[in-house]
Amino acid sequence: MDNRNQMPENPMGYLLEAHDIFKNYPTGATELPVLKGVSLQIQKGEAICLLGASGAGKSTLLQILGTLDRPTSGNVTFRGEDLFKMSDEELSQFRNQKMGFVFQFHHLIQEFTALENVMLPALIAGEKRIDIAEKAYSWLKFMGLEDRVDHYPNQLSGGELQRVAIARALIKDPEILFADEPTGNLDSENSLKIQQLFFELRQKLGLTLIVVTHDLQFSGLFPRVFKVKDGRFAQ
Amino acid sequence: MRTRSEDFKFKIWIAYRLLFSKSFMQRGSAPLAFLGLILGVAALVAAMAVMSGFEETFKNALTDVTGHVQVVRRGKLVDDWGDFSKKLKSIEPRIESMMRFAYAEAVLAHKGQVSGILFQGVEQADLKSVLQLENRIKFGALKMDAENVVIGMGLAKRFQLKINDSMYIVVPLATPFDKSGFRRQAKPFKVSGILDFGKNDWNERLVIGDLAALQDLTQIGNRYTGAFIKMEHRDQSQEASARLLQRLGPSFAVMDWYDVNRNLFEAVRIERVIIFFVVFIIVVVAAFNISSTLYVFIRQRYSDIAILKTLGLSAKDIRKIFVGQGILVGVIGTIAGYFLGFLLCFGFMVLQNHFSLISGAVYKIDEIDVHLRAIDLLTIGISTIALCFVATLSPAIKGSRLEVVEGLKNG
Repeated sequence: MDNRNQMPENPMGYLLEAHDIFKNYPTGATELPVLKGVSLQIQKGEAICLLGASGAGKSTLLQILGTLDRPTSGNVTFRGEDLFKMSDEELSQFRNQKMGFVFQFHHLIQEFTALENVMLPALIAGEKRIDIAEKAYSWLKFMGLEDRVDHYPNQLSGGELQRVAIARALIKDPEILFADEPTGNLDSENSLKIQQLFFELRQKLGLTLIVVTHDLQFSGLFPRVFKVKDGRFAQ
Repeated sequence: MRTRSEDFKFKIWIAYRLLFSKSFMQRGSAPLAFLGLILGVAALVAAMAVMSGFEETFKNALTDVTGHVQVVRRGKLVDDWGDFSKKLKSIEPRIESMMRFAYAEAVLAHKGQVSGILFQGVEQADLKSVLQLENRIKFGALKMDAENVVIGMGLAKRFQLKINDSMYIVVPLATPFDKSGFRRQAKPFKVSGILDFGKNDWNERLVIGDLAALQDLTQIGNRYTGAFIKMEHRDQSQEASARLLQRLGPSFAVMDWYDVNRNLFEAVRIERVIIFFVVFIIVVVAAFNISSTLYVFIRQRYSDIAILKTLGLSAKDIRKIFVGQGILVGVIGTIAGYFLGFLLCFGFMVLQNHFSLISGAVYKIDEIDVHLRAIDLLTIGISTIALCFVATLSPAIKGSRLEVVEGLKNG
């Protein structure tokens, strides 16, 4: 039995906790249950993987943990504070300050250059362009994209797009990095590079990493893996 | 942290970058919606400029030729100018200058043709301080004395009169001892100037000469009909005429430039309001187009809205960005519309120089200036931007309510 999803001891309190999360989607007159009472606790600096087949509910769980979606019932706390009790504005600001996101599709804004896309979260936070341009450039350089700074997304390859998206997720020094199938759209070579990058970043920055994948090889790199099946954690 | 103005700038920056993206502007509907707004604003600017130009041209014509206020003694002539002018000034201290004048119904005779005219005699010494006849000269000079008069351009054309041509002015004089009751008194005058009085019936009938020459011809001695008055400012005319009328009593007729053609000015005022609303419908339709284009835009940008929310923008911020787009469209459409409107006005002036666009018989004037009034431009600008703002609200609210998860699926 895979016991990597056993809770570690946590005398100092958890960074992120999900309590009895249910999520139903309305389908006409009835509701489709996607998550059926999921709970988990994550400590600062942990790397966890949500593994499961398509439609198992792992992305929905990640979106709820990342406050991008609200649960039908249950709650998510960050250092003990109930996140869904915050107003939309407070929650948006919280996300901007504490969380970084990487998705299967890069979701870069086509009208902005790579540098502007990376700067965007800091600009949203109210920082001045002149103050953050250098940091954004440093991140792009770290990603090996210093020659692509002024390129628009349609001028970049798939791997480059995903590295820009990772740089964007890191510009605000988040405490948690969420990644939803970050290698799902990449070839095997780029996929491996991105996987290595995540762990390099975790080590370098002490990031808490929550990754959704259906890739067994990728999930094997994580110390804690939660297998999601039919809206629950599989034993 | 950003100040409010920096925050506003940031949102406008995002709005601008998303709005004027190649992918959006290369779609036919967006530039067409924009063009519709520009055309609407341009049409409004041109229509208002022509209406104001008509009004201004007419006002100028009236004040150039008759001053701001005219006072006429009913049924009797006035004798003493010194006392009368002092009285007028004491009633209305804001009078800047005044001039006595007299007029007579007369007949112009030239080369076998005759026509009824209004012969007006003006005091030469005060002429330039009260009237601006020099603005009206088309040909010749403003020379009025015992032998010279100036005439309207319509009259000159009808009688084929040129500068220095001679003609006769004939007036009927009462003869109490004659059974017929009058005799004719005729005097030859030379045409020293041909004027565009700015009003069709004046151009067709008015002859202006020296007051002494008219007094001599009509044998009224040193008496005169009344006074043309120039106020310190044209806007004081209405108030001054009311005060003068009240104090001078019913034996005097007092009219300001507005009274002279009250009906026409009232009609122009109402027409201006009607035309504004009629032409504004174009802007309203354009605003609907912008609204529908923004709906499409928001539908296409679900993914971007979702990612902006993911990165920390709240629903309120998203709403502000799309409303910012509406305001941007309004501001840019208004500015571009102004320029196109100015071009239309210029085109109108050029066309007017080559073709007779205005019928003098109908509108009393043959040619009008276009006059761009700041208040008109301001009204057009504010209404357009406000309309674009309102048109954007609904799509902006829709965009702001988008669920992030839905948007991310559209990636």
